[in-house]
Order: sequence, then structure tokens, then C-alpha cells
Amino acid sequence: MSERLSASMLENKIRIKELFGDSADFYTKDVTICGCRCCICMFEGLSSIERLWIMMLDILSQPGTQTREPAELFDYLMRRTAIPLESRSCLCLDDVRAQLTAGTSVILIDGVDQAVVLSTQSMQFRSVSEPSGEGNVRGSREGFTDLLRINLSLVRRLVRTGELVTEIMTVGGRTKTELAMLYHRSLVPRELADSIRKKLRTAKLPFVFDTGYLAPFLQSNRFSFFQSVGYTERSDTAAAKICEGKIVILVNGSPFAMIVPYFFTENFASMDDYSEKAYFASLVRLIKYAAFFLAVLLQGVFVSIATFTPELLPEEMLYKVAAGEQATPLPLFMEALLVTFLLEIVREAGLRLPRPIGHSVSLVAALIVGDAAVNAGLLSTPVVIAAALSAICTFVVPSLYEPITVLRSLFVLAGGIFGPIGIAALLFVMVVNLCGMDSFGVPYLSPIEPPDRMMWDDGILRANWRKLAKEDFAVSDLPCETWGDD
Amino acid sequence: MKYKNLPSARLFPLLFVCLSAEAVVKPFTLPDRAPAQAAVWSELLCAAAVCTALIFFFHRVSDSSLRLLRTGRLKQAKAVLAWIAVSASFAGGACLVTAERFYRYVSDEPTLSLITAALILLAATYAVSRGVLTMTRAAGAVCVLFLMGAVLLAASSLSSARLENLMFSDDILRKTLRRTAFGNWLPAELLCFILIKIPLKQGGSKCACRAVAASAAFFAVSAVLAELVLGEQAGALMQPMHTLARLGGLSVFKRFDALHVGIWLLVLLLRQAFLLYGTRTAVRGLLPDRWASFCIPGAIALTLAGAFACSALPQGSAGVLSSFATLSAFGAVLLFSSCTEVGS
Amino acid sequence: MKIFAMLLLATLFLTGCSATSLGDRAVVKAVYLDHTEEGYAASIVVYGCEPTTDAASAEGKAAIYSGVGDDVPQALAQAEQQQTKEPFYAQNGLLLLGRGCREKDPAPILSYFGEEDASRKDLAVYLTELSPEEFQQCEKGISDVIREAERLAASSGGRGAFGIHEAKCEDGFSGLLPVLRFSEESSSATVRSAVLFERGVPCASVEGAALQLASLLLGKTSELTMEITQGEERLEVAVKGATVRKNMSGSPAEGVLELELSGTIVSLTWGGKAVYARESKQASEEVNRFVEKLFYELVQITFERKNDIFGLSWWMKEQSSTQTAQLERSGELYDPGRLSFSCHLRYE
Repeated sequence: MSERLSASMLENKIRIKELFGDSADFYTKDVTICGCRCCICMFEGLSSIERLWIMMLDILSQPGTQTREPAELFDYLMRRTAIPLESRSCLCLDDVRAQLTAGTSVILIDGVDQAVVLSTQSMQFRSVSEPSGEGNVRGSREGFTDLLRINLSLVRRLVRTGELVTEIMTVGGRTKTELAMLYHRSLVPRELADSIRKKLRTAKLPFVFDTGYLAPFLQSNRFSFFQSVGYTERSDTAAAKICEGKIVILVNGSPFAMIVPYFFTENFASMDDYSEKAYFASLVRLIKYAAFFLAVLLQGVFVSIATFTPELLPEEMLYKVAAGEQATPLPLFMEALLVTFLLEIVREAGLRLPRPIGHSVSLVAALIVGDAAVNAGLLSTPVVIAAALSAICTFVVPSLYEPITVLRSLFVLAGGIFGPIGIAALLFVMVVNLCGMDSFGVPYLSPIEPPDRMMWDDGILRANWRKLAKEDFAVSDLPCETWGDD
Repeated sequence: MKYKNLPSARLFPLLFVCLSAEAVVKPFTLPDRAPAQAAVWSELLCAAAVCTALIFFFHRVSDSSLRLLRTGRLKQAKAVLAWIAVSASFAGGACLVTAERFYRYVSDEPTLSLITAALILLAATYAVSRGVLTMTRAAGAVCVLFLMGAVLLAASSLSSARLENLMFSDDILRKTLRRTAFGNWLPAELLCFILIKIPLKQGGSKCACRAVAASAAFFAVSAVLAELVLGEQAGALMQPMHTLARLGGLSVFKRFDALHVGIWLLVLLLRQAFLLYGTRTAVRGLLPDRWASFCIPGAIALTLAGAFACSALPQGSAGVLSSFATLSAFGAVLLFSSCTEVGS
Repeated sequence: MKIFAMLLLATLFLTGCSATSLGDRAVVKAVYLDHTEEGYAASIVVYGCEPTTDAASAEGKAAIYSGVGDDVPQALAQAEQQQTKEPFYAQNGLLLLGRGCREKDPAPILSYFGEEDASRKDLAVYLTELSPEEFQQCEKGISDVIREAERLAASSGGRGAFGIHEAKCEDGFSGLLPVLRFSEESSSATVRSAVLFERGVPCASVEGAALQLASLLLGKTSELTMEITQGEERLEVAVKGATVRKNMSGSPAEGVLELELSGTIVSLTWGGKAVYARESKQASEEVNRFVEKLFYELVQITFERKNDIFGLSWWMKEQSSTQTAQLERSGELYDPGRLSFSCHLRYE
């Protein structure tokens, strides 16, 4: 339980200074307002003295303002002026800390054991801009920023019903980061909201800088390659998910909203699907599904076929693969692993380097990996082509990048060492893994397995809006299977 | 969220795929040389007999007695569970042997037998550890692939099919009975089915009978297709469906056999997992609670023992033995159920 | 899960990488076998390629390796030993039988390759007119010959292409084996005739229109291209969509198997000129009569001699297998009077 403020302004000021140490950006100023001794506390950089002056001091410095008792002054400020104060005053040190770090100004009044809070935020932040990923042809170009309140406003602008609920809580022992839980009151079952709220509250983290930190606390303990939570940087996507009966979690300091529950089929859907014609959207989704399986299986199957079952290769390709294999020092599957490894290094390097140098990485990678290594006989062309095709297919489904990368390498190992039985066994394990996942009680593969009509309406394919609009869909409509299984 | 108990009808894909596995990957016994006509009659006969027996079984056995059986608290339950474990593990061992031999048969560069068996068991064990609900969902996907593969096989083989290849036989009755007697007419998968914790009275018998009937139809159609293309050779081949897969082609696409083999390997893995699940469930009832973590290793050990036993038996006898073991296990369950109902 | 991973890692270390790499395999594209006085002569056509990182320039080069032996496996083994790589038969689509197989029963060779899993079941079998020594000289142009032969086998025209899965070798080989004509000078390959075998003994040569009609009756083609010589004039016919409908009227003991060939004549020239209107009707009737005559000639050398390669007796068995068996025992089944063939090709 945090220490309550005392009536002594000096004591409160000392305790607040002790709380923040000798921080150079912590600003205090003793002033007199209506004859009472007061102290202004704020963080420079988060709060603006000019705004404070404009909002309050100017009014209170007018001649003719009455002298008041401290308690009277407090009451006058809270209830009988037009000064835009926060509705809740600070009662304890923890409240003061929370308000000051949020960018407000806190005014201590000598003789009153509460503090008044003014919204004088004036911090620098990234403005609303186009999201870095999730590009689209049509639809909104607004992406979330790093400030929670602005993100909340972006969603509120899109879901203008009274059913949108926003709950704020704090996580992170050392950072006391604010997080918000947004959901549609009538679409989300109470037990789901309660369950997520409880998990968020009991998540013991020292610090939280991104929604991803919370994912392990929301997902099942069992290992899986795939995540049963989703992320989005787009406010319209978040709003759409809220309208489907999902819960969106936003964290202060991160532009990525987390979506729960999240299903496998959602990785293959985008907002553009709903703006385009149904037949084209369906085609694009099918391409994405095909790209996913190609990305995961192509290299492994290629290595397995070339090593264990070359009768499947067409004649001309057989000679090219054989010629390449004879000319290179490594076995095919080691080559495939090496190329995958190199591609990951290039990707990581390109991601972390400053932008001016980042472009050079692609050039160097193309020259070295694509050309010089092949000419020098270190790598064979078919392997490089298979790896490149696999990588391109990975980029079609960026939300599944991590599981695809890991699974791809595993399939290469399985195919190269064990052959077709390795591929089949690993594919079986992957299918079982996918089938065994639940996202808050709903099977992860819904609506594909267990089969539901939504599989054809908005799962693998997308139906016309006339059909989709006839029946409202919410996640709560999907069957949750219980099983008395051991 | 609409929370609901799983209807037994959802088990249909799992049962169907497991029961139909032997239609595409035959156990490596001496070919029965029976014409397709005998195969069709034999399947009809088996399906009718098994469905009748299942209906009678589900009528006589109560859900409460099955629940009591699974717990293994009574000595009689333990005895029945022990017999079920032996039956399921023997069938699981036979499946393992078949899968390993089939993989060696189709591969130009086969992996070591030990490695193949280890991979199969590992994958099956993982599926068992995820539970039968997960297996049911996985079976949906595998069933779709299986049926698509079957349609592709039929479409790619029809161009080589000739009516004149179908054989007629004078003593069709003898051949039908011989094929029935020496086949796997009562699969152990049906034992595993009754061990699943679902209310079997509510549609359990319908689901099982539908799966048996669909599987019998699949067997019959595959036998006819094989004979249409291969003629009298179909009955003499160890793996006629694999031969069909190697022959078939659609337009410029040849060599579908790898695709079919991949799908059939998935089917075998699922079947292995289901049989391992049955063995594990039976062993779980036999072991005290403090040894519960040993039920999967115990089931694997039993399956391996079943595999060794199956390899040591004379050719052609594994299927018959398995059927008799399953039949006696069903009889034991019936007896247990009637004893517990009389007792209560 | 950790235990699974550890067990898997353990198996990884147990396996090693034991598969033969592609570069160490000798890709066999065709096999040649022939009877010799001592036993069998075998030749394998192996495709190899030079190591190169330039995939565009990589291509297979053919080489022929030969061997002899007392039986087929021995002859093949000796041929394989002439080179150092592991033979790889999964790409092999051709079985070529030598000149000696036109005189001796090819059943031992066909049975060997017909065994389960010994070869791809769509292995195409052709007779050739080459002896083992002549075949070995064909190395230069053999790639083109193989390509041409594979194309012939895969085409819908078929030219009576014979798949190894069709080989019926009880009591010797019975069936039609197409003859693939090529030589060391010419790199093209054609099929113009086939040899009819009756229980291991070659008994007739079927060519031209008769060969095409035989392919049609065997269900391998639905097209016919024929040249009918009438006096000094020649009638050239091309037929598409040809089908043969079979119907057994009455019991096998008393009834007749009616065969009706129907199809569309797409091209008809008489004496080098296209045919129209009234002449077309006459020409069509001429074609139909010719085809009917061809059929009975085929029946004379097959069905009548109890060499039912077209499976005509199946239609009688379908009615009553008991009666058919009785007729077969009494020697009355293969009476050509039990067959009635009519041809109804129409010119459009």
C-alpha cells in the first residue's frame, strides 16, 4: 500500500524528491496561489510549463482573485473553476508517481493531504503514420503509434458504438507500463474477458516494452511452433477484430496491438480481402496457403527427393542437380541448410543496419550468395533457387515468418537425413501440433477443423459481402470442444 | 463460446482412415490371389457381420460399465484391460512392421529399419501425448488428403482400365470364405474406439458401423480398380495399389506414386497413433496412479513386443490372430459389463 | 517433449548420411536384352553428366555397357559391372528386346521385369531388329532414339505400345509386341509392325491398318489411320473417336458376341483428292467393309487359334462362366462363328 500524502507540502515535496532521486529532469517550483503556498511538480520534457501557465497560473494570477484557505482552494480548483484538471486527485505517492510519469503536472497545496493534477502533457512522440508492415492497396493508412492514449483514440474513432469497452491496467514492476484491453461488450463472452484480465493482472514481468512480452502469459504452456495470439499495427484491423468479438491489447510504448484469440486462418487474411471482389480475394488466400506450404516444405522435399527418391525428378532436372551436386563439396542438405543460414544472416543484417547502409547488404548478398558462391562451386544453382523461392514464399505470409523459418530448417534436416519418412513424420507432427492448439478454448484451426461453414465463407475462401452480411459472425459462434480425455 | 461435448460422429474420419489403411498398404503376407468378385463379397460379408456384432455389443454394454472398465479399479476390469492391451499392442506391432516394410519396399534408398520404426513410434507417441481430441482433428485433415489421393488414383488409372481384365471364378464361394477367414476381419481399432471416453450410447454404434461400412466399400472399390487395370496380377501382387500408383498418370503428369506414398505414410502414422492410444489407455487402467507417467513407455514397449511377435509368426497368420484376439477382447468386455450390471 | 527431442538427436547420430548421392548413380534410361546361344546378352544405356556449377550446360550423355550371362540377372549384373557407379533404374522407361526374341520366347525376360517392384510398371517393351553387337554400335544416336521411343509410348496413338504390366507369361508369352525400327545411322524411331506371339512362339506379323485395329481392340487407341488400296487408287482414311461396343446376345452356348465399331472419319482422300457428298458415302462403305475384313483376319490368327489377346471370351464368361468353361473344355469356345463384327464409321 503506497504512502498517503501528508498535509505538509514540504514533507510531500521531500518524499517525492526521494522517490525520484536526484533526477535532473524532475522540476519543482514553489508558488503562491490565492494566498496559499503550493508546489508545482513536473518532469521536463514530459510536461510543459507554458501550458501550465496558460491553463492555470494566468487565471489565478489575476488581481482580484480571492485569498483562500488551503482546503477551500482545493475545493475551488476541483469543483468550481473551468480549469481542465484531472477528475481524480492524487491521494498517495504512487498516484503522484503515475501522474508525473504520464506527463501531467501535480500541484501540492500546503495544508491539504491531496494533490491536484493538470493535463499539461507536452511530450515528443511519433505521429500517426502508415504502418511499417501490413501494406494494403485500399483502406486506411493509419497505423498505431507508441502512445497508448493516441492508439485508443484511433480505435475509438472507428468503433463509435457505446459497446466498445476500454480497460486500463498497469504491468511491469520496474516500468509500470500502462496497458489497455479493448473489446466489444456484447460480443465477447464474460468468461473470456475475465480470463484474459486475470492473466494480464497476474503476469509478473519486470518491464514491458511491447505486447509480445505478454504473449507467453496468455498462451498455453505447451510448446508449439505457432502462436495463438496475433499482432497488428493497423487501427482498422484492430477495430475489425473487436467487431468479430475478439479482445485487443495495447501497451504504452509499442505500436503493435495484440489480438486474442487468434486462429491459423487469420494469418492468410488481410484487410484488402474485404475491399476486393470475393473471387480475387479467395484466389489470393489460396495463393497464400500454397505459399505457406511451399515455404515450409519445398527445400526439405527437394533435398529428400534429390537424395533418396531421384526418380521423381524430371530427366533434365536430374542431370542439372546431379552435375551441381558433383561439383560442390557439401551434401545437398548441408548446402540447403547453409543457404538458409546465409539468408537469415542477410535478413538480420539488413534489419539492424542503418538505412543508408542497409541497401548495400542486399547487393552484397546477391553478389556473394547468388553469384560468386555458385561460380566458385561452393553452392549449386538448384539449391540456391529452391532456397530463394522458399524465402519469397515466406514473405507472402509475414506473420508466420518465425515458425516457417524454423520448420523449414527442420524439414531440410528431416528430408536430408531420414528421407521421405522423415518428411512424413515431421509433417504429421506439425499437423498434430496445429490440431492440438487451442486459442482460449477455441481450436486454433477453426473454422477448418472442426469444420464450420465459415471455412468457405471467410476462412480458406471469402464469400461475397451480401452473404457475409446476412449472418453476423463472432468468435463466440465457433464451437469450443470439451473432451473428457486423459 | 459454445462449449459442447464432442459428438461421437466426429470420430468417423479417424476410424474410417484407420480401418481403410490396409486397403492401400497391405500387410506383407502371401497374396490371397482372390479375384475382385471374391473381395467384394468378402467385404460385404465382413461388414454385415461386424456391424451386426457392434450393434449387439453397444446395445448390451452400458456407458457406466465402460467407465468402470477404463478406471481399472476392479480385478475383473484389470484382467479385461490386460487382454485389450495385448490385443491392441499386437495390432500396433503389426502396423509398425507393415509400415516399416512398406517404406523399405517403396524406397530406392531406404533408411535403416530401426530408424524408420523409431521415427514412426516417435511421431505416434507425440500424437498420443496430445490426446485423442487432437488425433480426431488431425484425422479430418488426413482423411481429406486420403480421399483426394484415392480420387486422383482412380482418375489416373482409369485410362488403363479394361473390363476384360476382370476375372470370373466358378468356386467364388470358396475363394470368398478363404479371403474372409485369413483376412483382418475384426480390426483392433474398434477396441480402441470403445476405450475413448465418449458416451457411446449416443451415436457410438452408428459412427462405428458407418466407418466399418465405408471402409468395406473402400476395400471393395480398390480391389475392383486394381483388377480392372492389372487383371489377374492384382491378386498376386503384395502391394497392388502401389503398383497402380506407379502406373497412373494424368495428361503430362506422371509419377504420382510419391504423392500417394506420402499420403499413405500419413495414414499409417495416424493408425499407429490410434492403436498406441488404445494400448496406452488400457495400460493406464492397469497401473496404479503413482506410475501413471509410465503408461506411454509401457505402451511403446508392448507395441515393440507385438512387432517382434508379429515378425516371428508364419506369414498370413498375424491378421487372423489379431482378429481373434480382438473378438475375445470384445467378449471379455461384454462379460465384464454383464457382471457389473448384475452386481449393481 | 525434451525426451522426444533427445531420442531424435540420438537417431540422428545413428544414421549418418548413408544415401548414395546423385553423382554416384548411373541413371539407366533403357535396357536391351536378347537371347544368345550361351544364354542372354544385356546392354544398359546409362546417362551420365560432367560435374559443373553451370546448370544451364549440364546434360546427360549416353553410354552403352554390355554383358552376357546364363540368365537375365547375371547378364544385367555383368553389364552393370562395366561401369563404376551404382545403377539406378527408376528412370528406366524402355525395355528393348533383340532380334533373338523374334525367334525365341521372350517370357523369361518379361517375367523378370514383370516381377513386383523390379521396374516401373509403365516400362514400355519393344522388339528391335538389332543383334547385341549391332545395338552396342548405336551409342551415338541412342539418346534421340530413346526420346522418340518414350514419346511414342506416351502418345495416345500408342502404336500398340506394350506395358510390362500387361505381360501374360503363363505357358510362354502371348500377345502383340511392337517392333521399334531404328539403326545406328538414323536417330529416328518408328513402329510400323508388331509380332504376334502365341504361347511363346512368334506366329505372325501384324502391320499397318491391322496393327491399328488391333491397338483399338486392345483399348490403347481411339484413332485409326489407314491406307486401302483398291486397284490403282488409294483410299486414305483418318478416324477419330473410335470405340468398340460389345454385346453378348443369348447364352454363351447359343448366342453371338456382337462387336460394333463406331467413330468419325475426319479425313478421307481417294486417289489423293478429298472426297465429297455422294462419293463420301461410297467411300465410307468401302472403309467399313475393309475394316470388317481386317477384323476377321485378326480373329483368324488370334481367337480362332485360342490366343484370345483381345479378351473376347470375357464377354461370354460375363454371361455365364460355367457354360463358358464347359465350352472351353469341349473346344467349342473359340469358334469364329460366335463373333459378329460390324463397322459403322461415318464421314462428317
